[in-house]
Amino acid sequence: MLRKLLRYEIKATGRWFIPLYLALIIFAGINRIFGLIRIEPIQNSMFASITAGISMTVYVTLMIGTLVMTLVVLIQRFYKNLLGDEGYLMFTLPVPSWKHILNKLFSSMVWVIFSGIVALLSIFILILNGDTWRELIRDISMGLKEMETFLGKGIYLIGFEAILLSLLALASGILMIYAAIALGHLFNKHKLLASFGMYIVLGIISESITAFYAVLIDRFDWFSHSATFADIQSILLFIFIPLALSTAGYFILTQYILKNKLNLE
Amino acid sequence: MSMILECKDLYKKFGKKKALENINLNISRGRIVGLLGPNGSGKTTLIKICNELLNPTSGEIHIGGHKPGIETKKIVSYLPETTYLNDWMKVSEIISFFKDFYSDFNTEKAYDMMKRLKIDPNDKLKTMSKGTKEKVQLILVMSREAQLYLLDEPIGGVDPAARDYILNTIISNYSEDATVILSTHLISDIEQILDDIIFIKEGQIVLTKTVDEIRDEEGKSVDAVFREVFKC
Repeated sequence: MLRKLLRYEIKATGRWFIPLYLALIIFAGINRIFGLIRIEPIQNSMFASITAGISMTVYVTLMIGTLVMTLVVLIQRFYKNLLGDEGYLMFTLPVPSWKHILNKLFSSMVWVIFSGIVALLSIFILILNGDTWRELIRDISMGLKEMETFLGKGIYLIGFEAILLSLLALASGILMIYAAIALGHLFNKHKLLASFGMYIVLGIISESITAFYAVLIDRFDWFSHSATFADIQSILLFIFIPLALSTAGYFILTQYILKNKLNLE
Repeated sequence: MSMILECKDLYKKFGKKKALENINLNISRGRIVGLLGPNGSGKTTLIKICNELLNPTSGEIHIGGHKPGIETKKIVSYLPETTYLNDWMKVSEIISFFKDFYSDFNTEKAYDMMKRLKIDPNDKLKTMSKGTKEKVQLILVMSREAQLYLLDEPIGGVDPAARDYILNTIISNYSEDATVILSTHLISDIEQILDDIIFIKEGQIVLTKTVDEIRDEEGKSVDAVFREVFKC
């Protein structure tokens, strides 16, 4: 059932993102072309510079648009599709509510990641040429080699763990938004405003816990000696614990409200 | 045969306000039941509890022997008062959505009914009027071969001409051992199709009878009895 839900979710959201991604890539390409022909004598013509200016503005707008859209769709799909009128359909499907949450979470994560990749790709298109590209590759491989001599083959394990931690951090961030929306749903009036308020409350709570935790960790004096593989492993573990707990906490809270306190308008 | 819907001492409060009070109900299979009462009497609340869209404050409810949950959602086909259709799908896409999630959904029947009501499967839901959307929704709900149909105000928003077609759709599209519960305050329009009636007033059930009983004992129409019971 989760697979079916995901298929429809990606379809429902993709119709916003795919055109935006294409537009972003195309305008990065157009700006690149304007950048290339600038070496020709036409650079002084007013027409060329105005066109170049406009296309750059469009590109920047699209870039900001992608960012805003990712956040708006993330919120709107949860708020409207589950807690709005469409919720009458979604919550009477023979699907448990935790699968609805996972569905929204996974699809949101996919779009956040894709938006990031496409934005980066568009920047590459805009600025990279053969030389800078080779330079970039060389720098990255050199950096990797340096770390490898320092930490051995363990660097690849650390890289893998860092990716997992980033995904977990992303999940935690998204679930915090969902938990805030679910809490806001408990209010009889001004649900959206209440959701914003709840987001701030959750933020304060999690920040305080993190700060307390950081003080606790700090007493162990991690960075006094050079970082060995084992040191990095324990640092990653100490990052992992609060992230895992907050992810689980937000998920359980959201699930509890959707299962027991649902009250669609 | 076992009951399709059983409620025992069911209560629902919103804060201090009692929405349902001491609801005891046994509804058998194969009946068309009218859940009748004025606005705000608790009809929608009761139907929402049957669909797990609300949790009761206390008491028990069983549908086909199960508490509201995944198992009951497989056998209950629900038409809410609200239009729950999204605006980006085509009719054909929402039909396959239903087919995907409900194993009792009859696609052929759905297309057949759409054709009879002159609804183009390639039309987008976005472009439809509210009335047409309600018709699409009713067709989707009645295209399931469910055991219990819960229809909340199915004729409230549509014109009288479409009303007859919708009522016909309801009685001709459910199998013999399925039960249809429909809530409404427009009693005279549906009186002729009902087997049983439940009168609900201020969250309490005030009368449950078969339509034959009402006619034999009281010699009146359901509509006349309703006007008596709910006299302001």
